[in-house]
Amino acid sequence: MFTKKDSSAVVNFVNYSLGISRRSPTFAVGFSIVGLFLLLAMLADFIAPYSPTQSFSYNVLNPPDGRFLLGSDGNGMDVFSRVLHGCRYAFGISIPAGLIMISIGVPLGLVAGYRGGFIDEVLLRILDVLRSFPTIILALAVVAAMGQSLTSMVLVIGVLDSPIFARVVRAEVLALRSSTFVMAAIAMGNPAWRVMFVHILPNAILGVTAQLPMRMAWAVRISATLAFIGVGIQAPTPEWGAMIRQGAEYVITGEWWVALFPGIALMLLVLGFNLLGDGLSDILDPRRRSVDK
Amino acid sequence: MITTRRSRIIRFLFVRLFVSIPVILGIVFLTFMLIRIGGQDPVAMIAGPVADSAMLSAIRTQLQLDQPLLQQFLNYVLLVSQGDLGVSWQGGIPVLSEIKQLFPATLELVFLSVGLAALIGVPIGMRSAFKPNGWFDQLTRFCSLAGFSMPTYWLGLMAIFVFFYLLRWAPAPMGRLGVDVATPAVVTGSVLIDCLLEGNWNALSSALSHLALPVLCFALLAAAPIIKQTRAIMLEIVGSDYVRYARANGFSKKTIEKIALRNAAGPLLTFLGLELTSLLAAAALIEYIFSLSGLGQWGLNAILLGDFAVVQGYVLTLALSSMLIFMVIDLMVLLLEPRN
Amino acid sequence: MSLISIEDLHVHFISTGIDNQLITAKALNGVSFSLEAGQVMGIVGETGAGKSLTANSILGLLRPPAKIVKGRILFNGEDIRVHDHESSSVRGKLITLIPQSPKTSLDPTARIGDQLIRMQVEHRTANDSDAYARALNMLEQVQIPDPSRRMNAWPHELSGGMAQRVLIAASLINSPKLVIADEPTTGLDLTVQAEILDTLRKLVNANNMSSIIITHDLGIVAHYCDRMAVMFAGSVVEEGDVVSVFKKPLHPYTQSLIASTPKQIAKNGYKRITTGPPDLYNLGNGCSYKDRCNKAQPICETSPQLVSVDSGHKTLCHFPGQSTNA
Repeated sequence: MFTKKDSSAVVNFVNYSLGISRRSPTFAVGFSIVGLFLLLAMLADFIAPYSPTQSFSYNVLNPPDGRFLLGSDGNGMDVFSRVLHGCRYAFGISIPAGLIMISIGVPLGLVAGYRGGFIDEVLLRILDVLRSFPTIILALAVVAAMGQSLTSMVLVIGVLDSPIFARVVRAEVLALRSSTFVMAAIAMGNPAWRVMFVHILPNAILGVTAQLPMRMAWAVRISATLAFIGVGIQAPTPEWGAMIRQGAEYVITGEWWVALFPGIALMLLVLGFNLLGDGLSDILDPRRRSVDK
Repeated sequence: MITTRRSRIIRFLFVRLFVSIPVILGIVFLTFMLIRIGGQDPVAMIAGPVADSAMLSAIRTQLQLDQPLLQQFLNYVLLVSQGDLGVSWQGGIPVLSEIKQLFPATLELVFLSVGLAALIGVPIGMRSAFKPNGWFDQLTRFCSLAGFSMPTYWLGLMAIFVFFYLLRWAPAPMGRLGVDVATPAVVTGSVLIDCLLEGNWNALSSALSHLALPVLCFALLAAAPIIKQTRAIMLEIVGSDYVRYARANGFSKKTIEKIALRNAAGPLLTFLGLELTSLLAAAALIEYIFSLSGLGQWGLNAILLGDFAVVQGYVLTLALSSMLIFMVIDLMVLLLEPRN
Repeated sequence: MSLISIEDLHVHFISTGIDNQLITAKALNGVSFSLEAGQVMGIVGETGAGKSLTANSILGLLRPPAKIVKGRILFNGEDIRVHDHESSSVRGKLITLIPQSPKTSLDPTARIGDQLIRMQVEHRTANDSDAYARALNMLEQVQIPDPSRRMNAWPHELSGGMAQRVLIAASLINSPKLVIADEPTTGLDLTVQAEILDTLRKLVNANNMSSIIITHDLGIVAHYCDRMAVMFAGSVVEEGDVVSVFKKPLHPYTQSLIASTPKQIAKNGYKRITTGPPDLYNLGNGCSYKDRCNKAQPICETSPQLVSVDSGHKTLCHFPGQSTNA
């Protein structure tokens, strides 16, 4: 019988993948989906048969066929190529937005949770307002106000979701603050910043990592929603929300493909992110560990 | 100090009202500032293309848009406290009357959808929690995540395509009533209730058929978070000491389920309240697609056009409704919990 | 015929590690003991020895990944092994449990009286009209002051001691044959502990029931139990009458336990243990105590047999009865 040490790296890798998949199939599926889309986004230029903005005026509203795999839209552009390039926009928005969220949310939550006091109060008030305020409308108003650009959308989404991220961080920090090892660190005379970054942060990150994919899923969703309403993205940019917007006109007249495919892509990617986040929390949070039958 | 239950309830209400006011003010202030700082210039929109600069500045003064922002805000608050929410710049319709006319439509949609979603979602979430990681649980977790991920407007569009274009089951997504049906007299503003009051069965069935598809789509998507949260709440309860003890006592499955449900009522209600408020806002998209002439559709439009008073009125309505819902739900929970 | 007899019970926890390999924790390894009607048995052991698990197995409350892989549990001659999802004929009616944390074990949304009534109605031991009276009577018997008012109380209004009394009442109200008390005195202060145990003993004797008290406190075993079983790493390493075991402990572990009581330490001093608790995932062959035992010989690499010394006093050791403090 082979012991683990003798097994080849490949067998070990397969075993660990199976083990993780067994532990959390959601993680495995989510990871695969997101990975696939990321790959598509990076290879879009090479895979897409046509340029996403190249319009074929004699082939407007073609149903899916040999030439246009997923059909052509009202401007004669190839839906397939546009959906592929839409991946780039999805990641191009969600990744920077996610980075903004982390860079604002983590320090905010850290300080609010550890220090409490004024910053904590402010954070809680902001969360209160956000809770009652329809976020979609707020995002809408801000983007409408700041003009139609991708950057403003990324900024708005990133900043708006930071408080929610901060809240999760804060909860983790609060729980850790009263733990014995942190109290020991403080008792040993570590300055506040050191306790926060060296002792608390690494442990808080674990609980927070699962939130990030969820937030990114939301970022993709809301950017598409905003584009659907007509804000932030200008035609003929191949962004999924904008594509669905155009497709909406044609649904009643039966040209279903214009709206269907970008919607499927959107749904799948958001689903992938959500599965990834759900799966991560399954794996990382021992209390939620699945029980074998 | 001995507090009676009644005095605690009254104190709760007072504190709530007191705390809500700054939050609402904050929301209105935020909206106020945001929409004015933005790039839209309403004056140009109102004046039309042929206005010259003299006319433009005249209009600006008349609308008080040349005053400092803070002053404008204070004026606004003053007017609102007197019940004047301003006038829409598209046609000069008073905002308050528009709200009164359009809000019931949104309420119809949202309450029906949440009701349906809870009816489906809560039992499913419960069943999932009783057999965690079984096939039913995995399936529902996946479905609810799928529901989470689906864009509302897209589902609506696809539903229109399948049920209207292909199957001709649903009526055309235009409005709340068919064009050939007599509208009922307006009593509450809610078409469904008004039809019932009048006994106008024709209009009622037409209204219901127009609401069927949007409510179905909306409910399906609203069910997803409800399932997830019910499951989470239930899971915690099922793992609790008292459920374990009930099991050790050999209670029947039905009894244990009753125990779990009674303990879940509080957190579940709180969550449903939250869902209700977030759906009130999300309803805008569904209204837009199905042309339901609700508040959201109108508000959405106004944001895009930069119609200040309408946007402020819309946001104010949503904020006030949210506050009210939270208060009612928290009151219900307060009354339910034996700990009070 | 004994009231209850556990025969060679093996319970394993089988799950998959993150590297997709099966890992098994052998939590109970051949647990055997028996109890006659009217007797009180104390089960002692350190954390992780398997005491609560044994109780859960008897009540049929094992959930995956726990599984009974071998052995029998005989109650009045009948094998009552079930797992959590199956219904049991004895749970709550013939065998009842007094759980460990009194305040959190009561349903927060039901009044005390209703919970006691529910206990009876569920098992059909009384109809609705009698149930109330019997509940009230039971509260009196567990010495709760002002019982009629307490019937309407909510669980959160009770102190720990009172909640524990209510749980005792609930466990006795259906006149079971066997009451299992899982660490019934955790979290209670000493005076309350004594009262609770006195009440329990009185009622158990009055109704000719048997009782199993799970505890890590030897003092409780000495005062309240007739028989005792000492558990270590999932096995019963010594079983017998309380008097015999205390007078002449046969197993090195029992000897160490007795030597760890404050009085003994004051007399003889103490020795430190260098090993941690046994790793249930890697128990290995032979005696499970050999890593800690200072009398271990090469023969201890093989599993010890059950040795009977005097009537009813048994131990699982190759060298029963030899003192470790020589």
